[in-house]
Amino acid sequence: MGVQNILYFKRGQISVFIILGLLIFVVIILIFLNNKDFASFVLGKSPVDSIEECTTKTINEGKEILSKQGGLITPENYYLYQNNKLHYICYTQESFQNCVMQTPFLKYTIETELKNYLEPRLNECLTDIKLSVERQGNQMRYKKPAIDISLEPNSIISNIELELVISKNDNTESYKNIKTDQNSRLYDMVIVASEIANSEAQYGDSNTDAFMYKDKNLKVEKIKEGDETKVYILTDRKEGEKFIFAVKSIPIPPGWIENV
Amino acid sequence: MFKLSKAMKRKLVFTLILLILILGTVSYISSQDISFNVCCEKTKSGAWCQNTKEIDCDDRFRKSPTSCDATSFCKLGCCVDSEEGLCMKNTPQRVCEISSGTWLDDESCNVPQCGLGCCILGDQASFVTLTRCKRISRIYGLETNFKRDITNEVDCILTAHAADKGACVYESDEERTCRFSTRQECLNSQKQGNISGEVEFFKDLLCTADELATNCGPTRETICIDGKDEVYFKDTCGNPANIYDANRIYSKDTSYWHRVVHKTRSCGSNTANTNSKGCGNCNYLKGSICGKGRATFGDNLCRDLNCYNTQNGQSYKNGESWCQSISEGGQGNDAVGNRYFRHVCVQGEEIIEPCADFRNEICIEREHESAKFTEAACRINRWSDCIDQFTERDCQNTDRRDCLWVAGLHYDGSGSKEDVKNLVDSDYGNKSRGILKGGDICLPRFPPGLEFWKEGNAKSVCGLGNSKQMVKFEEDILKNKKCVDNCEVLERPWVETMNRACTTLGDCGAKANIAGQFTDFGIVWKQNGKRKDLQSGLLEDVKESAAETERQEVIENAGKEKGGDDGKVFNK
Repeated sequence: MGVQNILYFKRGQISVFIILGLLIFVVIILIFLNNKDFASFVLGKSPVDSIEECTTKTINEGKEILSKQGGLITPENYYLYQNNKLHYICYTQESFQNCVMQTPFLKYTIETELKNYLEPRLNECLTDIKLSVERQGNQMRYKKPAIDISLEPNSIISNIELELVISKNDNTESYKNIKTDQNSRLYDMVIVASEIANSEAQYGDSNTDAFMYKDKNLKVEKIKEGDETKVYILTDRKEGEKFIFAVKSIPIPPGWIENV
Repeated sequence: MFKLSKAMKRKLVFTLILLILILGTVSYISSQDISFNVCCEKTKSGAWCQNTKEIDCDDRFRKSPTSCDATSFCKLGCCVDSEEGLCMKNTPQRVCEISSGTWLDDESCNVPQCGLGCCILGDQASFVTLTRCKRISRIYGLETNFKRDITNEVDCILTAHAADKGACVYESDEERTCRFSTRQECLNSQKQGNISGEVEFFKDLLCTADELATNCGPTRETICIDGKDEVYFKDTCGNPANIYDANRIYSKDTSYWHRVVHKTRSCGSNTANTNSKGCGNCNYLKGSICGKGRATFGDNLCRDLNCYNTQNGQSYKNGESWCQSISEGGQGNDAVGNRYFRHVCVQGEEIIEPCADFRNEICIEREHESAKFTEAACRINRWSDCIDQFTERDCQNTDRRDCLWVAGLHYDGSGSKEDVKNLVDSDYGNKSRGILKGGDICLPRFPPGLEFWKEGNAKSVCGLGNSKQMVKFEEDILKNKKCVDNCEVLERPWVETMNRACTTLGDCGAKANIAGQFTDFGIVWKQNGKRKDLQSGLLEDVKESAAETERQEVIENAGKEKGGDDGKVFNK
């Protein structure tokens, strides 16, 4: 092989590498731009996968918000702690009074909040996915989704009934419902939060050590604020998942003295 | 009967009218106060069932000019969740109803549905309601085993630990295999159809026991089990065998792979075996638990859970708790802003739990001599009736209050604090009143913090430290006044003594804060009603102590900056 041939061959190789590099770059950019059509084209994602992904992502988003706000997406009666609006699970504004339970069934409240958070976002996702499917020359039908979210030990389960039908040429795929299951310790933390609220309602305080002894993967922090609000931070030691809420029970005003 | 003169009658009528007017005013004021106390079903801020002012009520919800206890919609009771088996106390009827719960008229939940019992879940247990037990059992795929006769949590846990455990042998894919479980779990798995065919339970035998002839054999691998402290050997089927002991691998001791060996008869049973490469007998209460780490065999060892070099420089065992404060206090000398904290060592981490602010709570600790184990707790600061104690015995009764018996002063105990706190502005004739010279006085051991910057109790509490002293002068023939009685109160040391009493009552008087900044606007010295300047040199000792705190803080902060600390100042 002559020197010229070698140089020619090397130049060709460089060109191929440049073109390949450019292609990879464009693909990455498009994926990062969240172009659903392209992503599903490149990654071969089915509409069901896309719906599942949308559901999981949205539930995670909602969970992140409400975990830092005592279980509500938009709390009304809250304590502002490090820029987070912490919902009072048990609350009184009267001095020396035990707190009144504000959210007795925290688990169901969170399930409803997640459902309400997911509903409009899932509808948006479905519209986008339908458009994408139709652009590929296929058909997609579904009825208004009925969402059910359930907190279970170590997971959040969503069940979406939407009677999805996807028609590709002569083939038709039907899905009555789509189910997702994602890891989360929220259920266990919510049960502990309810027990803490019960203890606060009865005694005006709680023993955090006992909860940590019972569940060695759980860290419970109690921070007493100046206005007698107690901020509770529950942390899963393994995954770092948190649940933060506020309680105000048996508040004692500073410098309180009888008959003064 | 005696007759009244016209003038007397006029006076009586006038007095009666005045009395009626006063009573009228008082009742008007009282009724005004009552009208401010209504029960709002929901407040504008979104809180349910609060006794508050009418203006705070959300108009879309009900309100009643009574206490919430007396209303039907906000009556507190027990809200039962019949699916999860939770009983929520102090829940208003309305709140429970909108949550689809069952409301029962007992705010403490002393109802049969909420009766606690022992729920056995394999070799674990939970002290819960029957409904909760059913729910948890369903989650873990177990048959409900609820023992109502066990009435406390400790007995419940002990009962579960005492449950029979052993080899659960069955056929799977035409192979005789085994699962290490409790008898209950073993028999349930057959009932629930998890295992087909015959199931046999062999109490206290391991799945590796030769006589069982299963496909489970010994290995040199180890595992950590959720809910257990120790490192366990693992068999080829993934079951736990006995506690890891490097000297008892199968080739060295075959008997160790036959029967269950109790924790107390395993290696290093009296110690935590922290970081031991050869023994996995960890003990949470002694400060170790199974965790990742390279041992002689396997990848698990007893992880150290104790806390070393904590904020106060000392080391503590797992579970120990201790007290700290921002600055020194507890002898009536707490600086403004001082606060108490409970520190806990949990799994090698120092968790800081602040006691209530404004020294509404203090931290108490005690050491269990036998176990050398420190325990601390935040508890209410019982300072409020110190001033009313007039004997040393009552003052120092630590079962009832947190006070100090101080010599050199006494409180005249005029009975009504109302009288004393207003005495500066009142004319009480020629009598000394309030805190007086000589004798002994009972003062708070932990002076309460006060919101002195806003309308509140600060004025009233600090007012208790007021003192009105009568000094007797005599004039000689040249009209020169000469003090003859109680003259000391005109001198500087008296003002300093009074200031010490004042600062011990709370955040009152001339006092320094935790940052060492000194202010003297909390003290007023008047003679003949005229305010006197606090002379230079007066309260020098207080200022010096404040300056010293400030100097210390600068040094500590400089050290902290170097060390990269968060800048908080704590008592060393």
